[in-house]
Amino acid sequence: MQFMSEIAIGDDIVLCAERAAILKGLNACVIADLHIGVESGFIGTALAFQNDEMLGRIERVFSRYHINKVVIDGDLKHTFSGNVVEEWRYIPEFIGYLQDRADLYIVRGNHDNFLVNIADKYGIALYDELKLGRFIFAHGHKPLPERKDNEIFVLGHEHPAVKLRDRVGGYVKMAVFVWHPGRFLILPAFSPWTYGHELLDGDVAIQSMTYDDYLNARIFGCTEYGIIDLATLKDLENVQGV
Amino acid sequence: MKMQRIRFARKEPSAEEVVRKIKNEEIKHWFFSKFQDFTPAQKYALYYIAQGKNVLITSPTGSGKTLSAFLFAIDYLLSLAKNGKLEDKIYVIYISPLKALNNDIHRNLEEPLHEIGVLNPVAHEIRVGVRTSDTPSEVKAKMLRKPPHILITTPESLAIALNAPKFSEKLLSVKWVIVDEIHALAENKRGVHLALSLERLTYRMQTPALRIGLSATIHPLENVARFLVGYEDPDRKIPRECVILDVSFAKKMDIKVISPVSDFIYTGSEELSKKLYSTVIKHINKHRTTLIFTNTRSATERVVFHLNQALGDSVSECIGAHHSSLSRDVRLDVENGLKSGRYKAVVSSTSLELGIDIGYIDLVLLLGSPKSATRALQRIGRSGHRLHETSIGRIIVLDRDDLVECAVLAKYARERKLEMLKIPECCLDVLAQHVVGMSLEKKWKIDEAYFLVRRAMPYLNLSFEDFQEVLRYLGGNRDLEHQRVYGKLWYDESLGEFGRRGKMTRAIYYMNAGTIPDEVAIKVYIEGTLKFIGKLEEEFVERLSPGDIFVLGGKTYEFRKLRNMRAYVLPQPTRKPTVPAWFSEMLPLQYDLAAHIREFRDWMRKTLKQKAPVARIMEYLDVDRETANAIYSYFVEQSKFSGIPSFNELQIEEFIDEENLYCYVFHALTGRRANDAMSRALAHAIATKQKTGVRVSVNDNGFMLTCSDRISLDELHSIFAQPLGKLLASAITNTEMFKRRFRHVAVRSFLILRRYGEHTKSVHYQQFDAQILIKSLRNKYPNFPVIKETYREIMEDSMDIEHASEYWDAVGRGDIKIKLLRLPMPSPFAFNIVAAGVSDIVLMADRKEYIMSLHKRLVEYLNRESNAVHV
Repeated sequence: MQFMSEIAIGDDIVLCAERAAILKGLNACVIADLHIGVESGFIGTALAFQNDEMLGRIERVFSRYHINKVVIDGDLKHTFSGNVVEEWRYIPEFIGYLQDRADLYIVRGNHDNFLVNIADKYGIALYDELKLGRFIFAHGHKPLPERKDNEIFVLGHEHPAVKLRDRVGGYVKMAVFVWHPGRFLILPAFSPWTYGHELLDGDVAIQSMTYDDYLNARIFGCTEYGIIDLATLKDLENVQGV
Repeated sequence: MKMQRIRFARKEPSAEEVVRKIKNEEIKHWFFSKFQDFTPAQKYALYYIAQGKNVLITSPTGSGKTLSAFLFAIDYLLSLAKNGKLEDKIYVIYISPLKALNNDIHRNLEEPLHEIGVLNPVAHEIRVGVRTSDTPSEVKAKMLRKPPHILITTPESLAIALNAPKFSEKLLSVKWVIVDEIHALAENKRGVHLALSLERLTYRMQTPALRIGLSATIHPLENVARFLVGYEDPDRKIPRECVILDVSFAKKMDIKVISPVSDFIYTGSEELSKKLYSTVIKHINKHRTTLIFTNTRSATERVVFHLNQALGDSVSECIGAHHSSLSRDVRLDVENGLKSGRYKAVVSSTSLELGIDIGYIDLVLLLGSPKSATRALQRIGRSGHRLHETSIGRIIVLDRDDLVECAVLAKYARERKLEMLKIPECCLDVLAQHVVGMSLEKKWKIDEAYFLVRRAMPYLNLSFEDFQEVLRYLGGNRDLEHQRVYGKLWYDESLGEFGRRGKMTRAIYYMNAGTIPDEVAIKVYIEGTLKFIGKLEEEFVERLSPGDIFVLGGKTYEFRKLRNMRAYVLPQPTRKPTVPAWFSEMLPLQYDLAAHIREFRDWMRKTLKQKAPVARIMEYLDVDRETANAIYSYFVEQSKFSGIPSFNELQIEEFIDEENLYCYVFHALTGRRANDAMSRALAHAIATKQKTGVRVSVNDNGFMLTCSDRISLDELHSIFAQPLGKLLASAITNTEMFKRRFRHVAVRSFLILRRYGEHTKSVHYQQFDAQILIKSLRNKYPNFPVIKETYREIMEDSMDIEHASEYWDAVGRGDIKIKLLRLPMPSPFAFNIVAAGVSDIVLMADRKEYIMSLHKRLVEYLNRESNAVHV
């Protein structure tokens, strides 16, 4: 069936169950919305569990593909108003791992206000938008730039997720990729703390997108067992009987 | 040997003996100028408190409770004042669960002190002060300089005061600790929390204070007494001494069950409503002031609305509402209005159960079952202001099950046969909190702390291993710097010591101490309007999908969308809810009463076969002919349709619903909590087998499972053959309920901070997956106390695993036989269970398989629509 370790889309894009997208033509790996430091927002003990888990997933991706570029498409860190201890420790660790193996590009997200302090210290450039090949990387919290016909937006910020339901009302929620062929690819949140918010709720986070844009997009669910093809959002709407 | 330390007072002291205990003439003079004589409660209390005993007083309304607790202390303080020996110390602490009650008591003390002061101005030196979370800091500062002689406070404020470096010193001089409404505290974690506070306080005192407990009707009193006084020697299980003064018999009760109609089934709901209110009004008009109890806040609002409409605007006839969602001012106004006689009737849910002085009430009406004989007595006991007056209570029933339940309940209430109180045991989260508090005081040896903690009755059976695990968690041990689990205290396991650590710990303790969980709420609006209808818990909204129907404030709505932390809905008054309302306001039917109803059903089986059954029912239950007839016809109907289950039968009815799903109604009369446990365990086992979710509906009289496939009798037998505990633990593990409880327990244990700050705005709690945290914790720390306590709280406190296991095992052994019937539709007894609405969806154990089956549904849909799945 159904669970695969990767699904190929477009001409040269591969989506991984680990919540990363591989752009084969560029030998690039893209992830978004790590929210390192999120635990300190509400966990009194600063249990930094998500970092090991994220590192694990990145390691697996590196072991499967030939990668020489990594793009972090925004919200690498979490805390708006400053840098907390975990962020000072873990971001360099994570970045260090990546820098040892590839060229690193960081696109700034709405949570990354104070990332510049950390980034400066480790000599990393931050971008508001980035263009590599025919891909335009942006976080998605600001209006998107112009797109030419052959170009594809790669975005974060949305934290897209869907619920799969059964007949009696039970459900499973999972983080998803949203792929509009030839137009845009929205990445799931890389952070394991959050699956994200249900797309079928109709609340679209990316400013320049509408619910209709998503309706006809292809949805791919990321689970711990593999990635699965969930057809389009419209199909999911119909199955749920919404 | 043990029993003698906790004993009932047998001998009622004479008035002369009691008067001799009072030292000051002014007090005697004042008392007898106001009252004719001591009430029994006052006599007993004065006599035994003067002898230096710990006492537990259970007394009904009108027995002069406040004075019984305070009179001796006031006498003592007056003597000190007269001899110039009244120091700037605290001599008495009064603790009650309600801040409102505290204000009441303050008034009740100020008045006598003032009046005594007229007789002797020295009495004015006696100071009374209130210290709660509402107390402004200037007042608290003043208390440090000039402490009140009598301190009035709440359990939470006491715990915080214990750790106030300077103020806590003032507590060490206390001679008497009075705990009011102790029955309301003993049954939940607030009481457990208080018990530990009292032991911590006692431990620091040169001379331990005496403990005085004030309780309403509850059973068994011996356990409440042990809870109050704790254990002198927990190793040998020797409790401290306590004399139980049970004066509850003194009040006579006149309890009757009233049916507003003679036939519930063929009376339309509108007519039933009309008859109900006219019955209520008839009673209100025949009495001066009536106190009406409903079971939910929304019901309170509805009833007040309808009564006000029916009675019109005439000034003398006013109906008031009182419940916890109303503002304090509104509630105070109603309380005062009751006392002054301004209100003809006040409708309340549970908020007026506790002892606030509400003046003259000559009738208590219960609308619908109070779910236990104990609660019925507590509520009805609020009527009859003077001790010699009979408490009059009328229970007006709302449907056939209510009728049977209340008739049985009233019988047992009259016979004063009460249900067993359950006191939560070994709560690790409350323990963690107090251990942190203790570490702030000084350095401890683990054995010393372990001994102290077990003196509190809820912790008598705490294992040393569990205590160590709590210390390890708090100490942040086990490869901790690597995991970054910051410790709240330092714990050296090899030395067996622990103590304070970190600058933030004191602040965390102050800001997070207590047991009441915070709920984050999402505002709900009608779509397309600005109309605000109420709030929903964030976690509840998380499970909603557009199209889901749910209940809020007694009305049904369809969830449409979520925008910017606001939920938008449409009213759908005719549709049935499709999602559980898990924050159930409904009081649960108690196990003991459920067992009585089971016995009654058995009795009816036999009685139906005898001559003059209606007359027999009238006699057995002490009800009128009309009521007996209603009960009789209900049972006849059931007996003709599918039979009345006997005491040793578990009758299960299968029918197919309009969605072509298989519904199984279990007539398990074990009370709601035990039903909750069994239904989930069964649902989980079935879901795992059928590889799909099972819908669960639970009510007081049984539960219903809705499945995609049929279940066989053999399957049922094999499920009951497994131990309930394990199945249930597995069933609740991946549920929303578990995550929610985990969060509460985590907050109490200081694992998660109560307020999680502005900076998480875009990672809302609804997105937060506690599952990851729970999974990681379980993998790394198998005995993590926060997780263990979550399971314990759910299974023991919420779900009554003890009684459920008893019943379950009996079915497994065959002592209770399963009777599986296939029916075209639900039986009369099943109606209410079917209509109960969904309680939860229980999923199968294997998540991977579950996802596969859900995906299959999508694929089947696509095949039907002939969409080729390609990229």
